[in-house]
Formats: sequence, structure tokens, C-alpha cells
Amino acid sequence: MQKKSTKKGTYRSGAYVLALAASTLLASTLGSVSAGASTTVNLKMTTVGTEPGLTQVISNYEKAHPGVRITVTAIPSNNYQSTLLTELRGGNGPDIMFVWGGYGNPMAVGELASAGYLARLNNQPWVPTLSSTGKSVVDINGAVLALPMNYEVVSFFYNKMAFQKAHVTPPASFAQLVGDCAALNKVGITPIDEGNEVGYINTLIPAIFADDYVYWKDPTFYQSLAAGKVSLANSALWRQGIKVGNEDYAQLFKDHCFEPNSTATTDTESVAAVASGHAGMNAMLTEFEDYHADNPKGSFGSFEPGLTGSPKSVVLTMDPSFLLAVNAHSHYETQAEAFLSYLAQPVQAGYLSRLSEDIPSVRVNGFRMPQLFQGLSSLINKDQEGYYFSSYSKSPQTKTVWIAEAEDIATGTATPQQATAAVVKTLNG
Amino acid sequence: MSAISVWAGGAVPARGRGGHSIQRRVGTLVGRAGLAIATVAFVSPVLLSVEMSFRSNTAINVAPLAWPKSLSLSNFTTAWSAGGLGQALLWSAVIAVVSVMWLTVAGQVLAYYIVRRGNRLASVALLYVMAGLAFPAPSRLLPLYELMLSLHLIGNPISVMLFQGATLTPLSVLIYRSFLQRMPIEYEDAAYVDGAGHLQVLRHVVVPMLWPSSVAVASLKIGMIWNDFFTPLLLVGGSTYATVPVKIYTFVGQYTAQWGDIFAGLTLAVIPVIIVFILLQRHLVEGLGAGLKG
Amino acid sequence: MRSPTARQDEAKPVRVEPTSTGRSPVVGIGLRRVRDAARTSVHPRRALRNGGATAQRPGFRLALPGLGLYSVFVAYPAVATAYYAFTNWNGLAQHWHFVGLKNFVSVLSSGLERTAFTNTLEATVGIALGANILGLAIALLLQKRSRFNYVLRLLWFLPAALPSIVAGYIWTFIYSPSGPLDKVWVLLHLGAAPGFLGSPNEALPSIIAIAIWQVSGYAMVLLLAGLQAIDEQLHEAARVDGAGVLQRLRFVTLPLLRPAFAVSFVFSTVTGLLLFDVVVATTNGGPGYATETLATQLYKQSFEYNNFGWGMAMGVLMGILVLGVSAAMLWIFNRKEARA
Repeated sequence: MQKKSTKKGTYRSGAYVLALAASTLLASTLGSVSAGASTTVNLKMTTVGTEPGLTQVISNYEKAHPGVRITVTAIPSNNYQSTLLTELRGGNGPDIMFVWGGYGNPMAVGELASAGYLARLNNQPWVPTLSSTGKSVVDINGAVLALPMNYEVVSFFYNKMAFQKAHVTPPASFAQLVGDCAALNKVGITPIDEGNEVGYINTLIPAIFADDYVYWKDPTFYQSLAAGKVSLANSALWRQGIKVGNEDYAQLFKDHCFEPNSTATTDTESVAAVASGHAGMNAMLTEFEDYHADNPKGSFGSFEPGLTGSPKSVVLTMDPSFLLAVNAHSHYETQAEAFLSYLAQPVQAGYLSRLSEDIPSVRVNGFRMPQLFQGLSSLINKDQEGYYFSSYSKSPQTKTVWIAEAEDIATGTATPQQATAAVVKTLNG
Repeated sequence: MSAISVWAGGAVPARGRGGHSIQRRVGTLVGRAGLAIATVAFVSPVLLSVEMSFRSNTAINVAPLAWPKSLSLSNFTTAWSAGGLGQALLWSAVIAVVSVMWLTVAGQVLAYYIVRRGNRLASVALLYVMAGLAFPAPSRLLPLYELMLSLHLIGNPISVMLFQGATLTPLSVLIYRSFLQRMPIEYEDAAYVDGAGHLQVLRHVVVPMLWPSSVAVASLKIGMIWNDFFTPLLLVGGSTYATVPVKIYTFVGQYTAQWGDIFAGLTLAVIPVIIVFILLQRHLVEGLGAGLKG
Repeated sequence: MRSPTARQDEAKPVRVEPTSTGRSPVVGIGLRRVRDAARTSVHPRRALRNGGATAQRPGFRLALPGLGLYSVFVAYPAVATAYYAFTNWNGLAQHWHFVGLKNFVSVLSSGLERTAFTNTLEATVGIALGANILGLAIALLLQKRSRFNYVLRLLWFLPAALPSIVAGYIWTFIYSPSGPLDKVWVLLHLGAAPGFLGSPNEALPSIIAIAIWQVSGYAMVLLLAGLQAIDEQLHEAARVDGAGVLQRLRFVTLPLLRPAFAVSFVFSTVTGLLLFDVVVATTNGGPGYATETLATQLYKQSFEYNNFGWGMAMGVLMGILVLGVSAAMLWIFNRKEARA
């Protein structure tokens, strides 16, 4: 019996070594076979998460262009920056990549352009079809560096029944918003249920009012920004905008507009609260499907409160949500650009925007605005729009610092003055 | 005989004294029930994730903690086909098996050298290996990537095996070292006297004696390697050799995530880990007989 | 009595004749002598001295495979990256220049880094103590051989097998204002529920709890392995001498578990010092800066603020800290053992 166990031991370690060798060998052969067998052009593309409908569009494209294959790698948002930056630094970036607009992110066109990672796309057929604001986030010193496919709208969404119950209407000014809060509180409805647990959502309300303030004082400010005539870092107006945004945000907390413990509330919980009528409204990116999914019988709308009540103090804040750029070092630059042009055609652009519940940045005639946005369509049609601050901020720090400071305002840890000072400090680099 | 050895330990009620009185049995039963309740409470978050894998993404977003109204398997089919989980499971398994083999073999030999050599060079080697625990993964990312790139190993599962084998070396050396320090050296010495070489001593004396610690090393490492995501994403992301987490987390987007699909993928992915753990725990007890009990 | 080493005894060509020091007949010799016997029988240096005359020492070439792979894929990248700590590289530009120790000075003088440092220390102490105490309790309760215990062992290990991103997601809902913990608070009439992840004061303890939940599984596995290595006869002897359960725990089990504890403590401490995944998956450093840790700062500076050089300086300082702390722990555990 003892002998047997020894033998078993010999066999076991023998098998061990063999398995080790075999699997390593297997891996190495399989690894090398896939390396360079195909004769077709293999485009590598990376996106943040899985973009709805993209697989379908790509398979259509591959059918029409037999010589091209497009491989998409979807990377979760928390890992996107570190992974892509490391690949680019190693000189092994993808041919087509998801980027952000402006400068306010390490993977934003402005940041990547300074290192020469992005191809110029000025001569592409879709460039003239971009709206002026759409172009402003991808145009760095005269070079168009990305295709902005679509954007999301930052606005307030509300439950019509809840508003009726409290006898309030969508507010047209900040003062009215505060008044609505009181009326909603009186009938036991949480006025604003904000998913402040999610970083960027913390900054949506201050950003909306900051944008409104800046636009009210200077309606051409965003064009000037787009044209590079002003920058956030040296604009006194923008600094004042941050201050107004933070102060208004703090004021809403003082006036009991938010649910308790809002920094622990997730976006899904807050959408559910508004959908069910426990809360009256919240400020979100476009997630209109979710409100209806939560409560199919409910009736919902959207509004931009504005600052002063004058329609001229209202600007629609937008966040470009799906931008694609071409790697300047790609061996297949032409093929990559051809694919982007295909995506920018109205059929594809409209299809992708509809699926991701966004609004296309390129011109798509007859695009039907989602019902929930219809309160905002006049603003969109009048081009009365500006972008979420991070698209214009020159420092990638501005966004994260403003998120943290807005959380401090929400928990009463920082005053609006302290928060503003901290954000402004990042603007100066 | 073997029944005696498994009763080892301090908190175990005295065996053989008092027999099996009804009182004792009731006491055991109550104790077990309490322990079972505590355990269920402890793992309830895990059960929650299994439950979520049967619900639609919308249903999870609407009410993450609600009871399911209907159970659906559609997440599993999505995770399996869209996520390409079948292939990912295969490669995750190959990577985990090869890496753990390396960690048990090389870790044991290295610890053996460090403990039994016991001179200054061995101490330096220990400190040098310990330093590997100290540097956070993000700070090593760029040179590691460039190194793999120059070895033409990006997109090749060997890169992940090399990375895991190297990165987890410090912890396995540490585990083996601690257990080896307590091993009586007499058996090894006797073997040397009989003319055995180092490898023979390792194989016939050290490996059997260190079996419980090998089980610990393997149990811990399988989970770590299986779940590691940060570096494998960079090394094999987008290739046909992507590991399970690399595939599963593609469902996490910028603003939204398909949690139903993620949990379905996760539930499928955790099954092999559970099986391995069960097998290893059995060996932990079997290994007792071959341990250092004198 | 038992001959568990029989396998080696019979193995050819190696024939082992265990010496008597390895297994002293410890029955009936008093508790203190039991303790001494336990230590003598296994203490490495003593053992080395005893057998030193005849033993051959393994040569350095045995260390080569392990050290080699480790050197190429861990040590080299760590050293190569330290180079950037002395530059002002932003992580993107083609050019950079040396700035000496400027990054290090900047890291050490930053107020936010001090917050991150205290948070990290708090988390480290909490995780190391919590996970080891819980892990020990479970290991002791589940060390008996039974099907019931196997199942429970698996269940207690499951959280450790769960990826942090998923653990973070689930716990966010467990902690949420309308979540189950809130309901427990109401049910037990404990008054207003804490803000958990949403409150600046409670967010860090809430994250520490998640980490303990995950790390205690690892501690349990290590301590279970440690328990298997304890000589049953020592317990037997202590029991014959009339030692109670607690006395046996105090004088036999705990001292003999020291090697397992050494590893388990080092592991949980390092997990605490490098705490990153759980934070990112729950609060990402918030609310405000309440849960910023050294590792989240390193990541944000290197990959989100494009301060690559700064982040790498942070990495070097963290490396020194972690190495220092874990080496000190091993030294303490070793010294206690040597002295005993």
C-alpha cells in the first residue's frame, strides 16, 4: 500500500510536468497561428463598453467591403484610460478609438493631439454636416480630430403626475425651482431625487446653472470658445459661472430640495423614485427609456429651468457621448477613415443614436426627437446649446475635482466658496 | 488511526470523553444551526448576484433588490454567445492551471532554498522577492507592456501566464517559507545522509510535508488569477484568448452596464472555481496523513 | 503510534529514519513543557543547529527558476518605471526632462496625500485585524472533518472568489438608503440608519467592511492550513493535563499558528495598503475625498490627470512603505518565535 502511494506520487508529478509543458506548447502554437494569417485588412477598434447597434453596423460594412474586417474591443469605463494610454505609449494603439471631446479627460482629443496620436480628419465628407457646437469639441487649433457621433442632453426630467399633485409647473427660473421644491415637499413628494452617488451626476446641476449664467451674460461665449478666442482658464466669466453654479446647488440643499443621503443614492434608484412619483424630478443624462421601463403608465417630461426667467438665460447643456478618432500611426488610416465616413452617413448615425437614446451630432434629416425631449426641441433647433464643462476644461483634473467638491457641498463638508476656489485652481493648471 | 489525526486543534470538544450524550448532540445541532445562519447571512450578497443573473437588465435597474417576478435564462445565453464565454473559460482555465503549477513548483523550491540555505544571500533573496508585494500593479503597467510587446507576446495567453506566475511568486514564497520554517529538518538530513540529491529530497520529503500549504497556495491563487482583470485586459484584451473577466466586463459601459449579463457570466465563471476549491479542500484533509505530524 | 511519514520511510531510494527530537513523547509533561516541546520540535534554527553537521545546504541554482521569472516580469518593470518618478513626463508627450526629487517633494507635501495616507492606514489596520479575527474564528469552527464543514468552508471562501467590481456593485445596493441594511436598522429600532457610503464619516468604515468580507476568506484558508500543521499530540497532552478549551487555544493553538498568521497578516496588510478595487467600484474616493487612498491617488494622477511622473513617484514611495511594513511584520513574527 505504501509502495502504491509512492508510485502514484511519481505519476502525479510526471503528469504535472507534462501538463505544464503541453499547455504552454498549445498556447504558443495557437498564439502564433492567429498572429498574421489573413490577407484582409484587420481594423482594431476600441470602445468604452458595448455600443448598442455597433456590431450590426460593422457586419453590414464588412459585407459591403469584403477586404476589411473590424474587431471591436469593448473596455469598461474604469479601465479605459489606463489601457488605451498604455497601448498608445507602447506604440501599439488601435486603429480607431473612442475618445472624449475637448481637453477635460486624459483620453480627450485635445490631450491626445498634443502628443501627435490622432490623425487629422478635416477633409472628411461629414465635417461640413457638424453643428457648430458639435464641431467645437473635436476641433483643436483648426484640426478636426474626431467624429462626434452623438450627444446626450443634460436636463431636468419630471413626473407629470407628481407635479400635478403639487400644483406646480416646470420652473422657468431658479427662483421658481426653489418654490416648486416647497410645494412638492408640502404634499410629501421628494422634490429632486438626485443620484449623487454617481460621480458626474453630482456636477450636473451646478454645471447646468453655470452654463446658463455664462450664456445669459454672453450668448456668443460658446462660439468664442469653439473658435479658440477664449479659454476657460483665463475667462473671468466662466469662473463666475462656476461660483453661481455651486452657490445655487448649495442653496437647493439648504431649501430641502433633495432626498436625504443623496450621496448614497445611485442613478437607477433616483430614476425609479421619479418614475414612481415618490419624487418630482431629477437632473440626468438621457435615460428616458428607464423612466418608462420603471413605470410604463407614467407620463414624463423634461425642462431646462434657466436662471432668471428670461428665455435668453437658458442654454441646453450637452455631453458628447460617442466620439471616434483615428490613430495617426495606424497602417490602415485610409480604411479607418472610410469606415468613419460610413458611420457618419444619416442611416447609420440615426440608427446608432436611436439605439443609444442619444441625439446625432451629424445632420440626420427627419430624425425624430425622443418624446421625452420635446420640451427641449426649441432649444436644440435654435442651436441654443453648450457643452458640459469637462469638454472645454483644459485640465483633466477639473472634472474629478469638481465632482469631489460637489459631493462636499452635498454633504455639507465644504462651502460653495471653498468648492469654487478648488475648481478654479485646476483651471489654472 | 486517521480518525484521530483529523480531530486536531484546540477548539474541538474533547473526543472520547463523555461519549455521545443527547445533550451534546442537541448542543452540536444548535451550534450548527447558528453557524449555518451566520454563513447564509455572510454569503447573501453572493446569492444576490446569482439571483440577479436570472433577471433582465431592466428589471435589475428598476429594483436591484426586488424578488424576481420571472426567472429567465436569456442572460446566460447572451453572456455565453455575445460574451464568447465558452472560449474564455477554456483559456482562463489553461492560464490558471499553468500559473498555479508554476507557483507551487517554483514557489516551493525558492522557499526551500531561502529557508534551508539560511545565509545572507538567502535573506537578500527573500527581501528581494518580498519587494514584489510592494509595488501596485498600475505603476508597473507601462514597462511590462513594452516588455511583452518586444517579446511579441501581446495577444498571446503565455503573457498572462508569465505575468501571473511572476506576480504571485512573492505570496506563495511567503506561504511556503512560513510553513517550511516549522518543518523538522531531520527527515531531510536523513535523506541526505542516504545520498539523496536536492531534487529527490524536495520530491520525497519536502513536497509531501508541505502539502497543506500547497493546498492553501492553490486555493488562494486560483481565485486571484481567475478574477484578475487589470493586466490581462491589456495583455490579451481583444484577442481570441481573452480571459473570463475580460469578456464579462465588456458589458460595463460609460453610463450604463448590463448587470444581468454580467452576473450571468459571473455565475457561469465561478462554477469551476468552486469545483477546484472543493477538490482542494478534500486534499487538505488527505494531505494530513502525509504532513509533518510526528 | 501513528506513522504518517511512512510514505517517506518506504520511498526509494530515499530512506528516512526520523530522529527522536521530531516527536518527543509529550503526553503528561505539563502545559509549559508542552509549549516548549512544540517550539523546540519545529523551530528552524534549532533544527538547523541539530542537524547542521550532516546536512547539505541547497545551492543558489535551485532559486534560479523562481527568481528568474520574477526578476523579468516583476522586478524589472518596477525598477524601469521608477525612472519616470524623476521626470516631469505627463504620460503622453514625446519629450520630458529630469526634475530630480521634485515629484517626491510634491507628493509628501500635498494635503490630499495626507488624507489619503491616513485613510489608507485606517483601512489597513481595520482590514488586518477584522479579516484575521474573523478568519481565525471561522477556521477554528470549521476545522473538523465533516461534509457540513466542507460546505461551510466553501461558502465562507466565496466572497474572496468574487471580483471586486462585482462586490462593489452589490454592496452599493446593500448600503443604499432604501437597501436591506436600512431595513434592518428600522426593524431593530436602531434609530436613523447611517449614511454608509454616502456619508463622509461612514464611507471609509463601510468600505473596510467590504474588504474584510472578501479578505477573511483568504485568512481562513491560510489559518486552516496552519491548523492542519499542528501536532495533535500537543493538544492531547494539554488536555490530559486538564487544560480547558480556552487555555489550549491560548497556549497551544495560537502560538503554533504563528507562521500562518505571519502570512495572513502580511497579506491582509498589503491588501489594505494597496486598497484600490473596492474603492473604485463603490465611491471612487468620495464623497468628497473621504475615501481617497494612496492607490486611488496613484491611479488618478497617472491615468486621469496625466501626471505620470508624479504618479510614479507616489508608486515608489508606496513601494517603500509596503516593503518596510511587511518586512517589519515578518521580523516581529520571527523574533517572537525565536525568543519563545
